Amino acid sequence: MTTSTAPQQTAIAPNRTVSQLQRLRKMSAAQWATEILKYAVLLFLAITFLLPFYWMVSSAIKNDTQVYTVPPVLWPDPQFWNNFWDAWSSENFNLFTFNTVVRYAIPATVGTVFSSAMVAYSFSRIRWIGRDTVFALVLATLMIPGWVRLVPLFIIFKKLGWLNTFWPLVVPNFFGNAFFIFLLRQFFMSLPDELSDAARIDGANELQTMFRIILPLSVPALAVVALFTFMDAWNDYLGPLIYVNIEEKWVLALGVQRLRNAVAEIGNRQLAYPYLMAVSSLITLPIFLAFFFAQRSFIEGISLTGLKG
Amino acid sequence: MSQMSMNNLSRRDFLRGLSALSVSGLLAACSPAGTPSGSEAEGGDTGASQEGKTISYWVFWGSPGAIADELLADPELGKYIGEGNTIDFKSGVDQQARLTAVAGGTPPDVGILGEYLDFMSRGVVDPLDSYIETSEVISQDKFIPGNWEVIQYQGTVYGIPGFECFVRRGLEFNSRMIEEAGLDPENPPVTWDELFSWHETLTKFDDAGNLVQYGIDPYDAEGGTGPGNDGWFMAESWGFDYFDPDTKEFNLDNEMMVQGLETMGEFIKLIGPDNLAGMRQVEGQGTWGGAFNAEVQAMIIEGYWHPGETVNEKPEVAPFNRSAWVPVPEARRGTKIQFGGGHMAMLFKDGGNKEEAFGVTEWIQSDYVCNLIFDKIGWLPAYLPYFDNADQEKYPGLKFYFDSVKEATYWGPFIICEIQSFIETQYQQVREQVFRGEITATEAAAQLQDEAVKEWKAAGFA
Amino acid sequence: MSVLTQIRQITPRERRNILVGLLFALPWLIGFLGFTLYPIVSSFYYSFTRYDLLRPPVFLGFDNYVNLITDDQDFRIVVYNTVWWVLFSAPLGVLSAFLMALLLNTNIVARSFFRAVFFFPSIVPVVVTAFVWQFLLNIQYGAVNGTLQSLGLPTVPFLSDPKLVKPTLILIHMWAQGAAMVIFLATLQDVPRSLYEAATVDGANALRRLWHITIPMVSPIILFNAVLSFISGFQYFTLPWLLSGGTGGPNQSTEFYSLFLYRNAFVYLRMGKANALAWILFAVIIFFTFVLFRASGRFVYYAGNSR
Repeated sequence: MTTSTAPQQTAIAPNRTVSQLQRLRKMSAAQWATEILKYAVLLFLAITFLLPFYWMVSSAIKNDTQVYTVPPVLWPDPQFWNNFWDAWSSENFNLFTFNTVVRYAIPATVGTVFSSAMVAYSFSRIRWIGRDTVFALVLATLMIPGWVRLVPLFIIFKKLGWLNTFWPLVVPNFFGNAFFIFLLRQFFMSLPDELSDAARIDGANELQTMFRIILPLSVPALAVVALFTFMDAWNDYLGPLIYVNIEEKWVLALGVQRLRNAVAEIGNRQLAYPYLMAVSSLITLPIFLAFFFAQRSFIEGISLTGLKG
Repeated sequence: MSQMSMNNLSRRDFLRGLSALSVSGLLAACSPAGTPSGSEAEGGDTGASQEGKTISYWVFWGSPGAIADELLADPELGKYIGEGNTIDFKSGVDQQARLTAVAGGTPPDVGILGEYLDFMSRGVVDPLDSYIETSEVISQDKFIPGNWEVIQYQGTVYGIPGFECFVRRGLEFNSRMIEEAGLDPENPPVTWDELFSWHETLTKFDDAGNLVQYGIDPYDAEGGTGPGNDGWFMAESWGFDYFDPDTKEFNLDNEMMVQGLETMGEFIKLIGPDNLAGMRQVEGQGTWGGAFNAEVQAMIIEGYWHPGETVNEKPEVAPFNRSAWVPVPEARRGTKIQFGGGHMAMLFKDGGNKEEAFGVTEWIQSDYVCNLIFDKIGWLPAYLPYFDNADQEKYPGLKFYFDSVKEATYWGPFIICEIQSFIETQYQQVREQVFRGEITATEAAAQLQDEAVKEWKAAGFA
Repeated sequence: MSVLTQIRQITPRERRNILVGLLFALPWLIGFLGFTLYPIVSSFYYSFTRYDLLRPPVFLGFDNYVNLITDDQDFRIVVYNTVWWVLFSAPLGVLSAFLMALLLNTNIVARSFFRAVFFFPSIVPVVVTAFVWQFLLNIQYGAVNGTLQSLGLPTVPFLSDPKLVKPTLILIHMWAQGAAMVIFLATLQDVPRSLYEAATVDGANALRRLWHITIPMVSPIILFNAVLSFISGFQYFTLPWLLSGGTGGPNQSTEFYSLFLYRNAFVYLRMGKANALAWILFAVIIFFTFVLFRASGRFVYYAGNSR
């Protein structure tokens, strides 16, 4: 657990505990004070950062009395664990999950990974005149505020008859995402040229080289792209807000908002806050699990996007 | 290598890309940007087979959703929409959803969706006169006159009053809280000054200065809205018409408006705007009535729906519910204000199943639907035949509204102003600036007038 | 450069590479034309019209722009709010990320635990962030004010006082800086240890090492994060939208540029005005980014360039 997952750390990791012990022994009083202060700050921050999540989960298993008591109830007794299930079934969250995952996140992820990889391949592994200028154009599009495109895209999708379908949310993903093109390009460029040269000598064309040589070697980077795209879709609020207005096609974010609106009717609606917190917990859980099991991909992926160096 | 090239790229190539982008953008911008209006898709009428049409029917309220199954179980439903057809009913359709659906060409076949005048004036709903001529259920003489008035635009009927209409002005109060404060529930306030003194008595803070109870938020009226299909309570109370549909002139910058903003602002200042805003985060910003039900708020300006809703939502508070006339300024003492308006079902042009959709507007007048809605939610339609049997004393405080129909001395005018929803938003903004002491009521009235005149031009009505 | 001369001497091999390269880049090129360039151009056109989607567009010339800039009370408010937001959120967000990264980059036990804790808020669904904070900070029932209340202290109207809402949003913003923090951390770990060792030998204390080694070495990342924060700060939407229930309140204090734009487009159906707003935003973002990059030349240290 204490071993850092960042690759540059692995080399020194085995000696770390030992060296730390040695260090502790050699410390002066002033250094001790600094150390204590450091951990005090760290712990304070960690608690502050975790508090909202603790509050979310603990409020999910409260009843109304426990929610509205002053001073606040830190841990409810008794706990109402059935709130999770009751809240989940108070709206059609199974359907919203299906919509979010199957109709939105998965197609969007597949589209983004393949199209971005292909375009990134062009910008990294094929030498063509004008490539860097076009690539700079790709980067420049990152600056374009989504709001400039919003209304015209709405009008285009309206004319295509795509409103209230998932097409407006999914289809653009099949045309590459500038950020991920950039990320994958960086990764592809770090692979030695000799690999492709060898494949070319063996008579492979670019498509074969990409699929057989480059992509298999880039699985970590592709996983990062997939993970992030999936998460963006899972978390997306504005897109569905604009394009998907019928309840059969709602995604989780809109369902949660409906629960929030129920909170507005407090006094009318019972268990509004516990339900809201319960469903919030439940839709955060997959993100938490993904993060827990793929922490390395997350951290490395984000580091990669950061123009390292 | 890759890292270094990235560093180089981040500035020079970036700027190069940027210039390339702007040049290509300019080039494209100079070429004629034709925007053909696009061939509109054919209406949804085509291709419906003999049996099993599905009529989509949306309402913006959430509460009918809870009784949707019971409503649709009406054995007589087939008589209105054709045997074998079904209704796809959606409730709780919020504002963005309904506006984008209508603007985006994917509206329901029929719906009660608010924004009525916007829909009428922009021509996205069907005129209904020809349907009404042949209808056995719908005709003008069967509806409360005030309700029939709001469904018309430039002489044409575009909506049929829905199941939440009737009369819409009353001061509701919680007799238990009133008595507890040493006030007499048999003598409710009739002027704003009297109301304010009740408000003062009923507003309480704890030792730390936290608000624990308050008298009234007068902006609660109609859920805090301004002019609309529910009239405009402030204008009615002070007795001015904010717009003249004939001369197209606004009358927002007047002494009555200033008085209104000032008077109502005092109520909020007493509670504290932040306390109120915080309260609204709990009680909801768009919805109202929660604080009353929670017995934190002792009085509220609402309509006939309040007695029934309270019984259905908070039965333990309902027995204390009383209704009285809404307050007026001292100069109008004795004026008894009432307003007939409410909501209507509309047929959307881009929707289909026209005949059946109109059938839905007939169906919602039926005893079956009206009884369910009256029992389970507490709402009443505008349909006179239904009132012959409706129990006037079903809910505490309801009788006042039935009596008020005969006793009212001033019926709020229904004013058609195409930019009413804009004025509503502006009104909500300036009134907050007034009660927060950022501008004076005089400035607010002038600003409102100014904004309204500008918007009238900008929206292309001038 | 010599692009022009190269075009004349293009070899068949190069031509083939151009074709293949373009072919592979085709998805992006098509997407660029269809989902970026065309929308931008038509947005530009619509910005000169009055268009409510329901009736055909009416050409107005510069009216939308002129009215916005000279004669729109709300526009002034949203510009003030947005500029305020960008000026405070971008530096404070970057600072928060940088400080967290510095703390994690020291010699600590359970580093990956703390890193996970600091990072996690940045990947939580925004609806959850919004509603959980709203609940925590609620003036009556929130845990924070509930605690204050039980101590007999006055409550703090975090989200209901117009003066406090934006600072509260800043706090939430600083809480969700995990992604930027991870980028900083990775960069900090790349700073050669030898540099610090040499400096320590020379007698430089921690503060001097920070100022003379760490900050210069990570300055490109500071710039990168700052630019990203600026660009996204101008477009700040979802959190204030959700926190204010779509109203931009209290008293328009969270009515940021994009909320105003959204409202004009999808609530008032004033597509022309919304597009004019979008284009003003576009111009401002390009200008700011340009200025940032130009100004950055003075203080950003590129290891690769100067060696």
